[in-house]
Amino acid sequence: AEDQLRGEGDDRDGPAGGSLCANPPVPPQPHGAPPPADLQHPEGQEAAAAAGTRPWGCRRTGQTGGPRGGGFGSPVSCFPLPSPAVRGCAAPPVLKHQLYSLVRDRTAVDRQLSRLKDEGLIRLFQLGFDSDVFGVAFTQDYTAKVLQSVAGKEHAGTVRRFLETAFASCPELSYDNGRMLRDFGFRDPDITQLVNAGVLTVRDAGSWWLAVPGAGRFVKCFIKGRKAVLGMIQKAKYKEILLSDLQSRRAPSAVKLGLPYHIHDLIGAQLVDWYVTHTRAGERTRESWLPAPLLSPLGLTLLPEPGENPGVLPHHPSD
Amino acid sequence: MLAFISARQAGLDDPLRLRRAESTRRVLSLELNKDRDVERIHGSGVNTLDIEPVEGRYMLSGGSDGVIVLYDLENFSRKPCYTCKAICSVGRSHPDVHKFSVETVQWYPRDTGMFTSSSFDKTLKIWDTNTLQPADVFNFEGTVYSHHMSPVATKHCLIAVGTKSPKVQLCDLKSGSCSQILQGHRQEVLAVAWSPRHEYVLATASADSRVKLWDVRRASGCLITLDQYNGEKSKASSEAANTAHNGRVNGLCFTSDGLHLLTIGTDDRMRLWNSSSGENTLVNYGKVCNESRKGLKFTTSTGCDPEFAFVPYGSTIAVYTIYSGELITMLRGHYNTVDCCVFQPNFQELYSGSKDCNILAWVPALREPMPDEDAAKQRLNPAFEDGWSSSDDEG
Repeated sequence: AEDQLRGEGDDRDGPAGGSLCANPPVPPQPHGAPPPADLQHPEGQEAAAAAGTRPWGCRRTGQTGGPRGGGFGSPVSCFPLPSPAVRGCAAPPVLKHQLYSLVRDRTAVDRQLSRLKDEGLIRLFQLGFDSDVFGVAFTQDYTAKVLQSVAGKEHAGTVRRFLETAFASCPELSYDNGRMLRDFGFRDPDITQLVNAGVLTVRDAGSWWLAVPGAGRFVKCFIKGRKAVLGMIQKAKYKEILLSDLQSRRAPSAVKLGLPYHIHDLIGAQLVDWYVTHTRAGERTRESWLPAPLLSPLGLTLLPEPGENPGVLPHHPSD
Repeated sequence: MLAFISARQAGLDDPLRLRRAESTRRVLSLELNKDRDVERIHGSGVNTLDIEPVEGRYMLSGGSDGVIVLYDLENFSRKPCYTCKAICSVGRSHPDVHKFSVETVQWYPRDTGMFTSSSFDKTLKIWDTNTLQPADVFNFEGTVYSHHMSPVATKHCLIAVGTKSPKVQLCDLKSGSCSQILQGHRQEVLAVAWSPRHEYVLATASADSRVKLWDVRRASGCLITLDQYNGEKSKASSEAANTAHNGRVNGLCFTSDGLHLLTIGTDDRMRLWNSSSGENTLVNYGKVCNESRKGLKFTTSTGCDPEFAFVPYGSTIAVYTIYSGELITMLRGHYNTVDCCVFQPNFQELYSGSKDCNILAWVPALREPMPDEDAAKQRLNPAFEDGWSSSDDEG
């Protein structure tokens, strides 16, 4: 399994500029369980690597996240940054389901993210377009981004107070009225200011999700890009395409966040089936895609499965 | 297998270990077998199946046309090729047949003298198996989605009924009354399940995305509302926003030891919960497609290690390991959506019913015969054989 993951990392290098770092620097492991043996990219590695090596806001193209509203650090340069000409869609946040396409074991991803969240190293926040989609960011990155985007506005004081009290003390995804009022003294006008600033977004009557300012613009780019990449696959013959083919194609103009970003998003959200095919010579050289129509079950295997299938599809029980 | 047997014989291994290993091996090799099928009686989709817990011999099935059929699963014919025959049925011509689709059937947990069935015609009927007459009928205001009777209860005879109304009703078999109500859900209750570990603990799942655990002796309210984000469980007021899924919660199943609860929802997710603390164990099964508007009846294996969950997934059945979330295989064979499946723990067989009116039996594959010496010799291509023989007779 380790070899396969390393191989896939190489396969995913595309001319779009994204490259998966196959050997991230060794990180501080989250204490508790040791990572499972087959994980090549345990969460701690990527997360800490991103924190340590990459100053937030600096990009390979040399720009800093400044007046455009900044963005989040991409973990270990997994996602290439969009060209400087793009407005409003600077470095995108990492989505939780994108991690599923990098690490095989989804349960391990969830549990380690939960542990990191409880320790306060990362925060999960809602982006607003689907209740199942969460963005992941380091706590310090998040606070810096929020402070930067509210700098100079009149609710900056409330936001700062929120970040210092409620945000810092409870590593939760959502806040409810009772606790905000009782423990931290935020009254309704304060909460309205927080919602206007984009730090909170409505979940239910009297409870709010943690959110990030500027999410709306990001979501717009993201949905357009996702539809465009999915369209590229659906227009292909037999609705399937080799991964290397897809990466070598020129991204349509609607894709502002970069092809690899959307590829990880589609695989992780299981909007496409992804499996390994073999050439006639029996070597494992290709990976293909078969987009699952969005509302129908997985498990459409049109191509034969000679030998091992380390990917999403299950192996035959007679193995 | 021989190693396990000799270790058991020598006392090196616990007796349970051999049994678990062999059960697991059998479950991993489940497949359709041409020698085994179930007689086809239903004229429309099969909604529910239940195997009696006493002997594992008789199976009930309920169909979309209101028909209930009773099958004998045991093979006394001394031939490997066997069709599970229907012994009797409550057909359309029966005077007390359900008017609409039967959603849930369940055997009485203690013996096969009685079974219960609930249907979209807003009734729950208690049947006497020998005479096939309803002994009692409970009427409700809304369609009944699901009912369940506790498999371990000795001190009560309550049947929990989930209907279109947000209130869960408890019907008492001993007194014939259905006055006890559990309030807390906001929309229709799609699935109910009693805990196999504690006789008073009930789990209910509703279209309002919530799963609640109740102790039926407690009048004040539910014990826990499951929260998929594992937020703080401080006060009941903060539980108002807890959701177990991001859509309707369709199906509930306790694991056989009752320590964990599996829930499945229309947000295409299946979640595993610790049933005593209500904590989400965060096991991720991936996308478990679920388009059912009513309940989805899935089941878990018993006596294996690791335990498996059999979940109807479109027209196939997906087999997952429960505690690690891995998809083992998809059992293909049905022509239309699979509605229900049930596991026979004594022989590690799986029976599944679907909209194509068939009940399929998935049996463990037979072991391949060991190749013996003669067979090995025969495989040699005669072109490579030489005429030289080393035996003394031929000199």
